[in-house]
Amino acid sequence: MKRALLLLCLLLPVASWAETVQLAGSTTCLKIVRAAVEEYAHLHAGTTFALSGGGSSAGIARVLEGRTHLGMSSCEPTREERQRLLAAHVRILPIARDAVVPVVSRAVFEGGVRHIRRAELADIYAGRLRNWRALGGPDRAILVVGKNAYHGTQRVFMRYLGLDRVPERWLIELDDDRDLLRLLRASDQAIGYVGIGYLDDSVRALALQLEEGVVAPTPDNIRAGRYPLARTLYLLVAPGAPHEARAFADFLRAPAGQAIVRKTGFVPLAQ
Amino acid sequence: MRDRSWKAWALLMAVAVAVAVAVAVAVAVALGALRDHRLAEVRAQLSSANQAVQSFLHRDRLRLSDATARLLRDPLVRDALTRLLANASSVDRFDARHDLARAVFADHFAGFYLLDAAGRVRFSMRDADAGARSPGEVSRALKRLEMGDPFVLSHPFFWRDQLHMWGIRAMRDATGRIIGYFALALGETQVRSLVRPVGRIGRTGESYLVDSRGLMLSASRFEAELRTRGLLGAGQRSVLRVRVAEPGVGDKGQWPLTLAVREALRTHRAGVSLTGYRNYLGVPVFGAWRWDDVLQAAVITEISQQEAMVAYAKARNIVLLMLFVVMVGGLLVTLGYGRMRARAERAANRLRNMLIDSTAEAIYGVDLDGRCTFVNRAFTNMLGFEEHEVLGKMVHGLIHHSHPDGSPYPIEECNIYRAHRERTRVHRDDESFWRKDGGEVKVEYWSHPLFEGNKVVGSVVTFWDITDKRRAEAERARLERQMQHAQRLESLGVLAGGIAHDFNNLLAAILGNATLVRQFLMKDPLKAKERVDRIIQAVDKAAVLCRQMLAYSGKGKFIVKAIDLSRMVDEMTHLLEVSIDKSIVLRYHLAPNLPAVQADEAQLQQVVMNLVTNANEAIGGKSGVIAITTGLMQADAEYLAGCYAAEGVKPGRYAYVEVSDTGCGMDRATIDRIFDPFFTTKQTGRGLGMSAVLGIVRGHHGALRVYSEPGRGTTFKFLLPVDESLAPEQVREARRELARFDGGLVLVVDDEETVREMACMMLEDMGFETIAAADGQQALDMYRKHRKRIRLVLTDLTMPHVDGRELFMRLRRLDPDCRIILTSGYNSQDAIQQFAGKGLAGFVQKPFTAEALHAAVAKVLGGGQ
Repeated sequence: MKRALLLLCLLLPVASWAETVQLAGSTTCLKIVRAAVEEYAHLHAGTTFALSGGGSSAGIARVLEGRTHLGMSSCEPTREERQRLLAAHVRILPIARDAVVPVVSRAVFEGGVRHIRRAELADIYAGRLRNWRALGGPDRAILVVGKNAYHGTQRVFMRYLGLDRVPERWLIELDDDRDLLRLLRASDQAIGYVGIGYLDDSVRALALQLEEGVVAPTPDNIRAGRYPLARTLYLLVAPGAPHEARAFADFLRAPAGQAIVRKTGFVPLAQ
Repeated sequence: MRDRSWKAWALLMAVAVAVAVAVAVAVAVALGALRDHRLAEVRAQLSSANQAVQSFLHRDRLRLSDATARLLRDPLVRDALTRLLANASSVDRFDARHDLARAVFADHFAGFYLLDAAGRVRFSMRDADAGARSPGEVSRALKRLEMGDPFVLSHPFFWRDQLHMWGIRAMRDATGRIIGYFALALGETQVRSLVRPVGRIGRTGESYLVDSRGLMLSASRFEAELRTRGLLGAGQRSVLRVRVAEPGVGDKGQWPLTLAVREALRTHRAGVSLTGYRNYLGVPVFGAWRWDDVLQAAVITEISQQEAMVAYAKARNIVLLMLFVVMVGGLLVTLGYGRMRARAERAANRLRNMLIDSTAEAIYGVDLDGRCTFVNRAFTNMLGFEEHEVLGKMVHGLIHHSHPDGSPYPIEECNIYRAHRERTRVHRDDESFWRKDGGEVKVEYWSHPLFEGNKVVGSVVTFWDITDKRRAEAERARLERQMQHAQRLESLGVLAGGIAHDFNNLLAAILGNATLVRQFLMKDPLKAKERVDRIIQAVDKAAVLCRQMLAYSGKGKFIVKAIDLSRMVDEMTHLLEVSIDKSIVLRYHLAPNLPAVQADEAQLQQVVMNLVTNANEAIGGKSGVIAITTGLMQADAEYLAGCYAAEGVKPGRYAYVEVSDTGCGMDRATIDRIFDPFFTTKQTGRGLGMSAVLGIVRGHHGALRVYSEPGRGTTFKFLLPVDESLAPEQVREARRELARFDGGLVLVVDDEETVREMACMMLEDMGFETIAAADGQQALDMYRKHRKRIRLVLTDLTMPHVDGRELFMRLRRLDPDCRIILTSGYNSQDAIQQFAGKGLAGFVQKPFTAEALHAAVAKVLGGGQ
């Protein structure tokens, strides 16, 4: 009896050494993950989480290096990345569908700019288009805001625009979507882009003008694939991840987790 | 008994109440202590949380201050600002904005404002802002910057429909003069700790900031509550919209600020309230507050009283519950115990009742007051009372209220309660109990006292009905009498037959002689005369026989005349001597001048004759003495009670004739039977003699006393009342006052208590002190003890163990000068004869009068004049 008790006592601290689940990567995914962690903590009080951003690239890199349990990516891994991930036995788990949406300050939208063509976007971000007047908006210079290169959102957006690199001079690069939004909110002349999960009332999304017509970034359009700037959000599970991390990943992909996805403004995987 | 149990019950109740009160007080004290402890804990918690909040706020403010400082140090920023202040062109301005935005938003701020020295907006994210006057709160902040604060964090304020909070630094030129202000609008993450302080405790604890107007500067934890109460609009935040005041009625602008706010604003010091007050939601709370000069706001930490004291409340509830459980448990246990005891008692009672109901005897118990404590079935059957009619009632009055003859029997005299008082058993068979219907039940009862320790607590009485027994006894007595009567009748027949037979013989003798007279009258007159003499003899005999019979029946014709008994006896001497054996001596002690008695001489003669004849036969052919004594005596009631034929005989003076013999004597049983008509110990005779004697004595209103001892002899003494009228002189003589002696101790020895007492009384009257002994041994012991003082010894002759003779011998041996007077029922001559030459001082014949005793004593001691 005494021995069992002793063993139990030894186990208790061990139990409390349960691993903190480490997540790093896409800030877009972070919005879902933050909400999911809060929900998850209610159900599994013992599990602790350490969240950090850094962008999708950072997420992929860290997972490959084994410096994080769960990597977050908001863009499709490149072929090279995919190979390396698979080689490292990293599981690539889609957790949500997302779209990157060009957003403008409200004043701009109210000023008349409702939709935009890809070419126009490219001109703006290349620095060729400098005033809203050219797009039928107010007579103000365009304050161009974007995310830095580590972010999946940026890669997706840039890929769409067909731009490799953007000169810094007229682009404000921010790391945090919230800062980006804050800027757009504070400004009456800014443009940026975010995952639809970050859209709120303080900014206005621009619909894309395609050949077929104007395609708004609605969940239907996104799921149907009509909206071109769609993407899948991934969770990358490191091979040596503790079972709490795996459990969390499963939770995210389960209906409860997908409900959180929807709640946070993203598009759940399946309907 | 009932009183006592009430008292015990009252005492128990008092003790229980006292205990309960003591426990309650103890519990209250303990709970009070617990409460105080908890309150102290709450105080500590609130104070530390409040302080922590303040610390966090300061830290965050410091961080912001650093951030703003850093930004301002950024060369790009400085450059931009310089350009802006220098009235740059619009392109420049756009570039400046671009650069500033990059820096500012990357640091998570929500905007910037460049103000001129007057506080107007020079440049911001929007051109539209330019020229706008800074809001009031900002002006206040600018003032403090003017006064020297390096960094000021403004309170939240509304500007252009938005909530702003700015961190502002002054921009000075080389001389230190303020050239403008640079304000950074805080983003929601930066503001978070300021807008939502960390001081949350439990479910209801919160911390918040309040400005000097009483407006909340941070977000309330209970915004939903506020909205429900209508203190906040839907979608609104509490910042700057909630006045931290006690909810009431009327204009909420007039509501008094909560205690914490009031105190914080008034004293600008830290404080705690543990007495409680109502917060802005009306909830009773405990609170801690402090005023922060840096933030220019009150920091308040509150927790609802209910939640704060929940631990105490839980403990209190547990204690009270436990107390309740204990009390209820105690009560149940007492009840249960009481019931158990009652049940045990009932069971014991059942057994007891079974036992006592199974007896044929009636049993009942009484307590000291005389109340019935239990009865058995036999009791109720025997006396007709129901159990409930008797229990608890005074039972004496119900069943034992009267004597058998109907006279009332008060409880104080009741023998049953004697058992209580005397702690003894009482057994009576001469009393009656009374049934419910009034019928009498003769009972034999035993009463046993009940003891508790050494104290009597009551009695148990058992009784049975002896009515039948008595009736049977009465019946038996009646039957016996009947039998005796029959016997008597039968014997009477026999007697009649006998008498007739004798008469027949006599008549035959008379007839025979008469015939011979007829024959010889003419021829031989002498012979005829002889025959006539014979006839006269026979007739005489017949007459005697007749008289005897008459005497026996007690109804004969008396020839009553005044007779001197001494003279009568004297005249009978020849007759008597002829009737006795030659070997027996007749002694006469005839008193002279005997007062006359009214009597039939012949009958008395017959009595004397019978007595002498019996005496003769008692001696039975051996040598012996028959002594005849006559005298006068005073017979009292007690003396007469011991006589035969003395029914209705009054005390007074009597003349007596005493016949004593030294014959074989009679035992007690024989004495009892001698007067039975046909009892005889003799071979011959019909045994009529003594019954005839008794009849004669009875007929003369006299009395007969018998005194006998087996082996010693018998004395018969018959008394006849003296005719007072005949000898008045003698009467006068008798009553002379007896002279007293001059003290001394006399030892009186007699085995008969009454004789002892009488002698003692007489001696005391004469002036002596007396001590008494019941037998010779006792007398010896006493003599040895009081030897010096004893003047005289008066002793009986016949006594058990050591008799008078033995005593006399021993006393004389012990003390040769000892004076001893002997008393005896026997004639003095015969008694004294034994002591002739041995120094007997005197003799008194029993029964003796005071005079006789006095005379004897006087003779011995001399004096007594």
